[in-house]
Amino acid sequence: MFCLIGGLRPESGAVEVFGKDPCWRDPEVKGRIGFASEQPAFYNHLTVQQNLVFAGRLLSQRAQETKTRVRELSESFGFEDYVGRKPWMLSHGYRQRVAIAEALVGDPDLLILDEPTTGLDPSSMIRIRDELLKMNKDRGMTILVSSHNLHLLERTADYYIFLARGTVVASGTLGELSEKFGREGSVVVETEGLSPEVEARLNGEFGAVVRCKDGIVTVTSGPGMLTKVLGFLVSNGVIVKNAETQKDALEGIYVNAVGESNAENDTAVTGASETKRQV
Amino acid sequence: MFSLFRADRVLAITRKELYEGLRNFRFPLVLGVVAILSILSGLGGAQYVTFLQNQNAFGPIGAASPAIDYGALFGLTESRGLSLADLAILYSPVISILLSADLMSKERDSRTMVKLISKPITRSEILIGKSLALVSVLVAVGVVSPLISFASLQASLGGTVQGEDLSRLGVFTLVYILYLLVWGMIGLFYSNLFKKPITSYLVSILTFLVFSLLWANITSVVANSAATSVAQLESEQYMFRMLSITYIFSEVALFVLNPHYLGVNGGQYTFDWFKTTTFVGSLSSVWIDIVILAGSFVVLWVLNYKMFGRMNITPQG
Repeated sequence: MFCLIGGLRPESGAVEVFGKDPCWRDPEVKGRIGFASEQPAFYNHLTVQQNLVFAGRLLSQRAQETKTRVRELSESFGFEDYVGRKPWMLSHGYRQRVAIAEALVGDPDLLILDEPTTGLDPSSMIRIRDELLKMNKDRGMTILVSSHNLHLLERTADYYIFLARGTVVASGTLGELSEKFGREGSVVVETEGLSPEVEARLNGEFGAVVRCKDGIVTVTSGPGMLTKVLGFLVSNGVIVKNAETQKDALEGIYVNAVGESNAENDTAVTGASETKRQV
Repeated sequence: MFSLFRADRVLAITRKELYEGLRNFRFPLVLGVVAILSILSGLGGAQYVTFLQNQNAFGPIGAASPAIDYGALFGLTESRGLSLADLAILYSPVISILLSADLMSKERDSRTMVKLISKPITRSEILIGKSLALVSVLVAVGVVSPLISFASLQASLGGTVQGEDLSRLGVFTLVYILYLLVWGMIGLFYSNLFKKPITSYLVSILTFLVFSLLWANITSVVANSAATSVAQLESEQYMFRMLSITYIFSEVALFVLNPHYLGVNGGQYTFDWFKTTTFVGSLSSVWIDIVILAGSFVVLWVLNYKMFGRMNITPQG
């Protein structure tokens, strides 16, 4: 992550962003990048607004242009009432919102976020997630998020890179990863009139792979499982309201991918494992 | 290689640094302390000149310079404690260190450096911007301090100013600024070397103590262990002493400000109250010192440039 913004030089290999080395072609490349780190850092002698205007100056923006942009961003991220305050007066959630807004002052083509939701309250997390999705959709901005929050990633990203012990162990879309690392998915059937007798027979037919709760039947998937389950339920007089095959969730895929890599490399999975994804 | 710098980005950094220095009262405090010390040094100098005049110490020089021998006054090292020489040689490096030793380390310690380098600004622009802020404050200190001292002296003693005195004072001011800048670059060096501002401050102050206050003792010990005769001892002591920029500047200040210092012979300064040398003569005795000071500044700046250019910035700064 820090190689991408020119903070660290790679010990081996090369890092290129937009086809150029961010260490040596600083302004050219970084003018197109926005970056916010896990722990937001600000100049505490400046107000929130002054911090953002300073960021605009480094982007060679005119003062008026920056102020307009700051107004837009403060409204989008919901800190318009705090622009006159010093950053240290804000909660962590608001500081994180300001940090992401600061990364967006230059309207970058690539936004890099390092653990953007660590320690955030739910409302800040939802606000940030929704704004990121909006920017990706409306402006076509590529957003690279490094996070351990798989739930957030699953709901926002469309491309994933799994890292373990500094090595890429898997990458691809959720579908591609699911194909490669997904175990058997699940067949989920919403039913009406599922009697305890049918439920018991269902368990007998499909074994321990069946879970039934509130009329929802979940069966661990196998070849042609959806057809078999539906046929069984219908033949037993159960009304089927909805049926679908679910692939493994990201968490399962991650565990499988890193676990397989771990087995191949005979190494342990550590907390350094990192998930990156590109929205 | 680094791109060429852009003035607007450099000035954004400079402006931020100056604003920060004004906001936390560091710059006003430093300039205020310098102004007070300068006034006191001027008044203290005036008192000493009056004493010497009463003792008729200036002798025939008083006849040649009907008003006051300003050049002699500023070179009066006998008035140890609060002369302009003391202010320049001993107190000012502390001011330089206070202003420079956290320039980089504070950004790394607070992790704002991570933010800074992620912006479209080169490392050279960051360094130049910060150096510019430092230089502008140190130049202000270097100009204001002798001016105030001189003005308070003038107000206290009256009389007319000799043209050569102004030349001497002008050159002294330039070299004084150079001396401040060299110490500023030393502070900046430690600021690049250490991540914690407190460490860079302490090491900078320690360097100052060694090369300014303890240096004479250290060089004496070293020279004593090597010399075989008194003449050799004096010569070696002088040679070792001149490895410190404090002593280099001290020599320049003595020769530029005081026309009664006539030269260096065998590690000893030739001084005679009853003889004077011209301004050009004084300069010719110390031009090499001035070159060394200027060279030190350039070398230290390039060293800082290289260090900061190759520095790895981690998530912790």
